[in-house]
Amino acid sequence: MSSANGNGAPPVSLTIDGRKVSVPAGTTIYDAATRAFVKQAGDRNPIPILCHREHMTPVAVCRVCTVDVSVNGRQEFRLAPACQREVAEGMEVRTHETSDRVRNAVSMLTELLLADYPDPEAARAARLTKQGQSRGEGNDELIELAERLGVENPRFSRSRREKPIDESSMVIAVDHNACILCDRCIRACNDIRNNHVIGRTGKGYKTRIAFDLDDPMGDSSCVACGECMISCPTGALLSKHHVLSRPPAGTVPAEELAAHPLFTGVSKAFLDFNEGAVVRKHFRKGDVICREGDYDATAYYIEDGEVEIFISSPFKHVKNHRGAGSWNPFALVRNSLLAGRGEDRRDEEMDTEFISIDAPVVLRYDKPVATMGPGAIFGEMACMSSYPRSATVVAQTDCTLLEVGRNVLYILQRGKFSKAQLDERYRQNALDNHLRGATVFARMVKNEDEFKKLVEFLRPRVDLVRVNNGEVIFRQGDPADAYYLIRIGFVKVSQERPGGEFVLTYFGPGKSFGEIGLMGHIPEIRDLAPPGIRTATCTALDHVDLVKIKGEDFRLLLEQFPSVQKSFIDYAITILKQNERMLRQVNEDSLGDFLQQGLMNAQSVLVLDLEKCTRCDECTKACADSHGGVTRLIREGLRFDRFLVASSCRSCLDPYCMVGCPVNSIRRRGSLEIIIEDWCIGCGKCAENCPYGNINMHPFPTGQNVFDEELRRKVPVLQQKATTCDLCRELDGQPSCVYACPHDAAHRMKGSDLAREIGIVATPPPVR
Amino acid sequence: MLLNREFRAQHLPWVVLALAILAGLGAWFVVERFRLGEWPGGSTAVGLTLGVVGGVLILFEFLLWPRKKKRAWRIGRVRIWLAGHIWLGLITLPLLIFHSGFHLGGSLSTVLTVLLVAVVLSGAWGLVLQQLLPRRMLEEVPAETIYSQIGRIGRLTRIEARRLVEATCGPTEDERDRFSPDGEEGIDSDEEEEQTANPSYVVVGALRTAGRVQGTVLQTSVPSAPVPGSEPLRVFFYDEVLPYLKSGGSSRSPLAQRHRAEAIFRDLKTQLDPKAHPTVDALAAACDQRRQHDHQARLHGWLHGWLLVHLPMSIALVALMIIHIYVAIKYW
Repeated sequence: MSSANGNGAPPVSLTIDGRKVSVPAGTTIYDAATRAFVKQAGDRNPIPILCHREHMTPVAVCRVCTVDVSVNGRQEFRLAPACQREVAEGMEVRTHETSDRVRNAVSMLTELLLADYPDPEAARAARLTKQGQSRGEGNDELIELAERLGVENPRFSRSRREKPIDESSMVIAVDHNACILCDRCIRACNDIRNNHVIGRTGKGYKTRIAFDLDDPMGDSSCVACGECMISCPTGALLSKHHVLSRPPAGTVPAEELAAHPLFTGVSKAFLDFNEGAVVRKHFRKGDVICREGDYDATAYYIEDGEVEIFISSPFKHVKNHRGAGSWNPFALVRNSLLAGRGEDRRDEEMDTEFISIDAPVVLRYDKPVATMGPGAIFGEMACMSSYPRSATVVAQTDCTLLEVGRNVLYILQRGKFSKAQLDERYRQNALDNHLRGATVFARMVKNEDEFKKLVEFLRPRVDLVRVNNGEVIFRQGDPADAYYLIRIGFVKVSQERPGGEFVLTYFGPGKSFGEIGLMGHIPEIRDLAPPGIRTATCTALDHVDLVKIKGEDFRLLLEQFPSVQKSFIDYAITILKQNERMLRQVNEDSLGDFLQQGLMNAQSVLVLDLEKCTRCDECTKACADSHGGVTRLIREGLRFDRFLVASSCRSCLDPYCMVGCPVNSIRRRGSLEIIIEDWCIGCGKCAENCPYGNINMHPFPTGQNVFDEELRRKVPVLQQKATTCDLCRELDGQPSCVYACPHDAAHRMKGSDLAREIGIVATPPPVR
Repeated sequence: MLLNREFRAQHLPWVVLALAILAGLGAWFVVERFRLGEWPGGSTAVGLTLGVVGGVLILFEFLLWPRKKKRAWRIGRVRIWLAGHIWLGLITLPLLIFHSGFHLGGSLSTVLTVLLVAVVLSGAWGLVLQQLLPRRMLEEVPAETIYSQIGRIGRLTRIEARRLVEATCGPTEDERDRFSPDGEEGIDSDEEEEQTANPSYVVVGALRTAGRVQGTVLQTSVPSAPVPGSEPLRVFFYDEVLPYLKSGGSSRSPLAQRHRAEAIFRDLKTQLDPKAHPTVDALAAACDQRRQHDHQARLHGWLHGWLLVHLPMSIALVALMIIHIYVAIKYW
């Protein structure tokens, strides 16, 4: 599995079967052999594996990958499992192809495994006739290994204990007799897919895999993703082919897909199992392929023709203003309307020129339309992480697209050869667009020649790495070794504080991180942050694709492009100062129960003292009056003692609402309140994400009209925009709800202050 | 507004100001009494001053009303205005009584005096209620909701309760007819549909427009199949529970009294299979919620009802005061 976190140590040189190879420290012997021997599809690693796969954590239970190891000329007494043993400088490795000792050991292991296996010939014949699928045609890795090693019928007698066959599932049959307990299905289910359905049960000879609490597979919580089936090396888990109903129209047959260049290296058994997951669709010029805000878990690959991608929602934010003809100096608000950057420029507004979307192109703020041609893949984030579509795609010419389901895209991104192909496409076609969308490169974009030089400089120097949900990319205090740009997914940036974790921000596609630790040699940065050390922990929140630039390349970049260096220095100083300001505001207390309600997380919670409150609703009315008749608070919510925590934005320390915005249009200001940017497409993802229901979607007139067929007249178009409490910052910074309360019952306070009010924590003694 | 130990910061300046005005003008009034040998009337210097100050204070008091209506105006926090309203309002009565020289005078001034007393007393009554009722509501109505939403929540509860009973007892042929005569469900669904059918606009984007309020969620286990012998539950629901949930205390249902309701639900359980008991508990909870909402409505009525006296009489007072000023100046 590719790791986002390199350690920056010098590479290690070793010899495998006489072939020299140099790999990063920490690489396993098996991975080193892959690097040395597998250059293209069809190449074979000399080290066999059964219980291991490249994307899995090695457990070394089958030991067929054992190799003979000598370090600095001294042969080790024991054979080493190549899947787990890390390389060392000067190491010499001999596989079963060059060492009789290893060959004997591996052959013996294979023979022993075969002894417990059903009659190989009969099993293969049975599977071929019963299932009629390609699994038995050479994909049975144990049989294949036996053939490779020349192991024929085992000399040992087979156990007479017949194990059950579980056919309860509609899509997968489980033959426990064929299971060699390699645990690949268990790790596939638990580690790869996080489904946690498969485990082991029983002891000794009775040991077998089990589903949930030893339920039949069909009765268990199995979601039939097929990951266990494609992971099984022996065919103990088999697809029950053609059980499912007819595949959808346009389904591309597995045979055709296997020959398709995009699917190079993808197992045919997997493509068979996922029949219907890749559909070829033809669109005529002008047809809508997908719309912004829609939820469909598929990605598109353009085979032929061109498509146009754009955001149709107006690039405007909700503006509260006095309205035309207002005479009253005290009346701060008359109505709420949509206003663009030209009409209303807000403080701390970003100077974004390009909007990153879920496609290999970016959209200009002033002209949000782009074109994509053959070979482009779009909608990966919507497919992998169930985010709404970030833009609308319309066929510009007659075109043909492959609509790819999540399972297949996942395998494409994981497979060695398909991934390499996707990565190369990204380097050649999408890197420049991605850099244009990154805030720190905004200055460069204005000088096209210099920008081209920058892209050419970076093209051979970027690595694409994939990080799984929950995986830590780097930790606060780690040595800084690389800079990252986010291509797909969301990353949480947090710091460990005495009171617990403080989330500094969430980054989405087009954002970058990791530069501060690499800029310690620059005096302005050295004054604000420790050099060479990570100042925060970055964690993947979903499937995240990162573009990694190594530390030395990053420093070279700064050296060769002074304008980029200036841009990075400005950006880093802004970030560091903003973080410092936010941290100063944070109360460093923490409490379990209160945290559970998300209240310790709150920076500005609206609290009503119910002993004082006469339920006159003046707070709600004031909020509505201050925001064009649309209230952003509801006088209802959780109660603690005599306090009611009203439903209104709390400016959380951990702003979950920022995760998943398909166009990155929600962010937090330095003063902690949430701001919705102009390019909000009104998909409602932030409103859905807010655990406290404090972001609402409201329609605003766009000034456009469309003809309604049913009503036979033109009707106005209303654009949904997300609205949330802005603490009345656009007015005068005094929340109207508190200002208008006649009974002194409404207060804005931190969650920790509320905890003190209700006596959950003791009030600290006054400082003398 | 709750007057407790915390009130010092925002009330004390107003208390001091009110007492200073009262003490200063009162002392002058007493001195004049001894100088003139009788209580000074409204046309004396001290009487006129008292009248002017009292009139200005009444106008200031009256301005709280438009102040509260203009919530987005930044002309001082409303709570500061209210504190001034309370303490300055209290001294208008003695000031204007001094102004009258302890005489009722003609019919206009008599009416004015009566109105002033009524306004001050109704305001004081409101203040007393504000000291007591919010706390009572907090203690006695744990199921409190937004007052204007009580009807809607009641409708949703009735629909949920009916579904629960249907799931427990199984549907009957005439059930729809029994439920529909009052048009209840029809009204609920029609209201929703009316709002969404044929809109005169096109909305682009996600259509969730209301906030999600998170809190304790009532979870009732619904039987997966009808419970045999649960017909008494259906009869009880349509005869007793539904009318009560719809009309509350005005239905004169025994369910309006907590103790009687508990006894009734206990008896009902004895007639039913234990599998139907969660449904009975849920109905009891729905009735309890209705009782609490009725109680909340009553307390809410008391908490805000006094304004129906205070506000119209204040308007009348200001109007008559202007006439009084005009008449006094004209015939001086």
